[in-house]
Amino acid sequence: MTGINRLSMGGTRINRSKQINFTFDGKSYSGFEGDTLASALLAHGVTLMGRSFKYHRPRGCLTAGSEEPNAIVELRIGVRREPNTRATIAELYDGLEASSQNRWPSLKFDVQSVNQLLSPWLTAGFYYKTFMWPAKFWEPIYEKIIRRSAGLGRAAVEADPDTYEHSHAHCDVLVVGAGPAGLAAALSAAHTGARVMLMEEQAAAGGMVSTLLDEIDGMPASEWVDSAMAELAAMSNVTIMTRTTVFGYYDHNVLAALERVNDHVSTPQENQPRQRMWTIRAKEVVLACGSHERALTFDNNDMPGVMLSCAVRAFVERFGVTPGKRVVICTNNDDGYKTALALNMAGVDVALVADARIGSIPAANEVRAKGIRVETGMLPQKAHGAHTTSALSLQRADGSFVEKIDCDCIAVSGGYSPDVHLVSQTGVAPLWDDELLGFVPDIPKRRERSAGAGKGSFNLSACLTDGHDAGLDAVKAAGLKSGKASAAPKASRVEMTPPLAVWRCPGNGKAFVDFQNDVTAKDIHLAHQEGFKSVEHAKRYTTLGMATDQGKTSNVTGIALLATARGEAIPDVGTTRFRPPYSPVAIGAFAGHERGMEFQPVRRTAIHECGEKLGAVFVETGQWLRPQYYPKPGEGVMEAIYRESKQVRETAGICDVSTLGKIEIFGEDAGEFLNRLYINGWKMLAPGKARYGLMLREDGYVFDDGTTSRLADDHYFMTTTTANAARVLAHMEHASQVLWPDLDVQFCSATEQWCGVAVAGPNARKILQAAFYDDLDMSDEALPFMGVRTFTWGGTTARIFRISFSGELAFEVNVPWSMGEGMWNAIWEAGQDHGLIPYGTEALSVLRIEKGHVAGNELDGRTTAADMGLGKMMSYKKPFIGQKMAAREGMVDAGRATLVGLKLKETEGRLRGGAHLVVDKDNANAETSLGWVTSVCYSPAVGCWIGLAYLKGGLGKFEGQTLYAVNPLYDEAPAVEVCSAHFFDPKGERLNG
Amino acid sequence: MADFAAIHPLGDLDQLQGDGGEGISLTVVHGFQSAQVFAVSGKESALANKLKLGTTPGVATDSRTMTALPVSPGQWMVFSKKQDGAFVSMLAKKSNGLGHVSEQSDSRICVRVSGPQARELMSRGCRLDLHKSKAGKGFCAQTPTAQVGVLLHQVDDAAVYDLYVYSGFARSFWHWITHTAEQFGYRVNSLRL
Repeated sequence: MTGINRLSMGGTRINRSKQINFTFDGKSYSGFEGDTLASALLAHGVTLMGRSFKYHRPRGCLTAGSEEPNAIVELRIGVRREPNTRATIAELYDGLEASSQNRWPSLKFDVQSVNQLLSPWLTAGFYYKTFMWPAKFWEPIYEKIIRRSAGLGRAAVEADPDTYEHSHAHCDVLVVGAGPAGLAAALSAAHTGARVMLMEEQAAAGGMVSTLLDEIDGMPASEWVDSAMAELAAMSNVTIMTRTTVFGYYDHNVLAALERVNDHVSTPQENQPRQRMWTIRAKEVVLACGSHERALTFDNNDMPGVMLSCAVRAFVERFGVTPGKRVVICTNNDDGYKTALALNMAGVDVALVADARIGSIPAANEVRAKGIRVETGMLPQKAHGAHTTSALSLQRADGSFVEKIDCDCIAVSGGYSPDVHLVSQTGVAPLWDDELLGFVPDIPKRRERSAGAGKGSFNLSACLTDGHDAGLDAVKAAGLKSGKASAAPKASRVEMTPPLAVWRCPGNGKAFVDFQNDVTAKDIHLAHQEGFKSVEHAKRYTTLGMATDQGKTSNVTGIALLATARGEAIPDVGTTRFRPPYSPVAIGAFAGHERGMEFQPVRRTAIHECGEKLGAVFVETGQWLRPQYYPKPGEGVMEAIYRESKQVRETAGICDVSTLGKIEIFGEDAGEFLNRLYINGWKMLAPGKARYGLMLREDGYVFDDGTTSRLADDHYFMTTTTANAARVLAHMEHASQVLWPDLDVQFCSATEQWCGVAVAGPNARKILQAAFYDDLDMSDEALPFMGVRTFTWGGTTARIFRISFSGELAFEVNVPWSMGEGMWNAIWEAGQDHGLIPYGTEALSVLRIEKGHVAGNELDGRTTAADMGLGKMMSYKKPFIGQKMAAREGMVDAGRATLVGLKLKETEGRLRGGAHLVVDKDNANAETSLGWVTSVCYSPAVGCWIGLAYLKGGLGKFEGQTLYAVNPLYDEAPAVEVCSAHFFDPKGERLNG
Repeated sequence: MADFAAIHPLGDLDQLQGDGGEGISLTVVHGFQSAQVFAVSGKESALANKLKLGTTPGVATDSRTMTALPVSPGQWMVFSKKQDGAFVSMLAKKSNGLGHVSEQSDSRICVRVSGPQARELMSRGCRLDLHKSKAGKGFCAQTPTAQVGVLLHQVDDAAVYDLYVYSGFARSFWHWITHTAEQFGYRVNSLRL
């Protein structure tokens, strides 16, 4: 029912009582709960699962795990379609719709398989050599062709409907991998009472333990694994996470892991994320990551049906599926014999075990005793078949043909490479072990130790002891008491014969090293021949070890072949540095909750809803949402801005200014502190008065501006620009804690304690007097320009500041946040008889540009106080931050661009920020640019487009002259007249109403 | 003129009941007053003694009338335990000559997180180790949680946390915490001191 290759026995991970239906390339199949897509397809005899990246060669699965290079498929359809997933780790669920990728029109008949005929020309470096010229063809033509041809699958076009989240964890000991070594480590550490986390990539624990052959502590290995997991799960100090890949190892023992919470179901359970990204801060780490088996490199070794020996065993043992009816095993180590025994126990026909080694091999005897034919000194020569394996030619080490044997599966083992990815990420260069034929971890640089096969201990008995000891060592290193340690689990020690180095079986055909990138043994030789001799260069030239599998099955063979080409030893070639992530991680998991409107937190003012009720359109200013303008029905953006800015000057407007940074400053030395922060003097500021201040960075450039008020002798209230609020506070902390700890000054943010509005315009005083009634005398005498008062209003404490950004008679009123709506409503009501309108940030900008007041666009981090026309504010009677650096030659150069005003001379068109000013618009380039436009608006007061700009030579040289504001982005170059930046009311008479 | 009515930064969001689940309880605490209290340079100990403020970093001082969280050497965030309009002026009066007081009653909201999965919920956004072996009653810290600066105070030996969040971030933080709490099931309560 669930496939012709489903065995009647075995299958520790499947539930034979629960059938699962799925489709692959539109065809319906069924499997069992616990199957992977690969195991379920193999059960039905489907070995062709994909096409290769470059040559479009037919491919089946090579492995049974996350290192799979071949069986790369698309999962699901519609909005949840996910390309480039590995069939070997895709867990089956009812209704799964999977499809192959990188083929057209079908997997079996792929037009682009014609590439194979072109393969003599499509070798390493083909693209670099071929698409060099003409250079202008690269982006519009070549890149498009290459991208279309390459097998990258199709991502869903629509937004991902699922959610992702982040989580943080801490532990004493993190154990990565729940194979026998990892379980032994977790048990020994957990028994001491340490906080242990055990993370396993697969859905079930056990790693590469053979459930048919291995025994631990006198019981079948699978039983021991189950009992170890049950024991760990029952301990309150242990957290077990399966389907969780530790993919990054960073500084300070911070590790990152991806938990696939709901990848094994069609749609995530309600309120559950699809995936969760973990950041783990571990005191100590045990890396029990296991090892990866390597393929043998022989002609046509990528034929579907050719599979790693351990993968064949895994399919039989875990899923009760045989990848073939008649299997030939080719090996250079003892693993092939283990697979032969497992297949034999499962009743699968093993036609031959061909061992590259000669001499006494104890493991061979056990296999021969089962009646299985074993030949030593024999290598695979060439796999035969069309879309799947039908036979294998065998040869001696000298290349002489021996025989051709019929088979539908070739299990290959080229030895094991300890998984040193995470160790390598910590900066440890792995060491070559000539006996193991693999790289093993060197001395740790972080608080970690490796155990088991990941350390090169391939014997189960050694794995268990290793893991046990590593767990205890981690506890000790964490500074915890190990107490009475539990005994290490035991397995009988098997005598193993060392592997034989076989990096290329003799042959002239296509023998693949890196299956995922179609890198052959010849490609590596070619790279070397063409000068790419460093392993890092050869990797990039050939693409060896890149893509989703990160070369887990291919790197070592590739390095060995490069060493052969260089005539050097493997350790002299070395490895490339592995980088995170260990296996692919979806961008959604990195983003977690932080996407769309949750990309970053949104800050709302206390009177946000007051603006909403009046139809405000909001704009993001940093994290804040601010009313940008208040369109009336049928009104466009420009009309609304024009109306608002005009009416403020005619009657009055109210604007939410709560977002300005507000800092309360206390202390006997608060005045002195301000004196050193700002360029102008503060010691003479009387209580009840405000002053405009300008701060420089330590390098002398302008940092921020705002008004600061003196509320009492030792109490000041500073405002900053919205954008710089946090930076100014940090700047002050630095100054107070590091530069002048001797000053008695204390301060804190009060931004969200207070809600603030600006009321500006000729009627502002009348409106506020009506709103305050007799709570405050608003007369010019009682509250002069730059005056500040604290009073009780509406039952709460209120502060009023007579300051103006618009150049009109204006006030800023602050009340505690919770009273903000009450304040807005009271002023709004009082203003109805006086033409009060709400205005947003756009009109605010128009009003300040008309006055020539600088704002964020002018404070761009490259300008000096003198550039802004504020050089005279710099006091010479006191030192202040940035003073010395502001006097540098380049900072006081007479040729610097300084602030000027611009008026558009043309009746059509507009001015744009960012345009460059030139004398000759037909000769506009970086050399002829005299400066740039910073802020623009259409000014109702002036009656044309105006702007602020920085201009070399400034007003002194260009006043009244015509320049051109060149904007190549819009292909515009309107004529502008240079004028004073004080467009409107230059004498400031309107400040008095 | 009528008094202004106080509007909480969360509006009436705490009137929504949540999904009725048992994993998490979110309680919006209303009615506390708060202030940031600073010692005059050199008078840190004197002020701490006068107001009975603990000086151990990361450890809150709890009394019958107030909770003080040390936020910096010589600086505390102090919260009243009941609604008391005179609380901040009382602090200012007692601090006279030894310190300064900045009223902050409106600057933060307080969300109390409790329930059997409170610690797990916190792990979704908070980087600190809140395991019972590391953080007990009185543990406090300033730390970003879901990108928002939070003043965290563990009010019980069990996992019960008072999270003080700036008012401007209140709704954004509420959105995150309720959305994240959905996987555990949650209830919303309102507590007026």
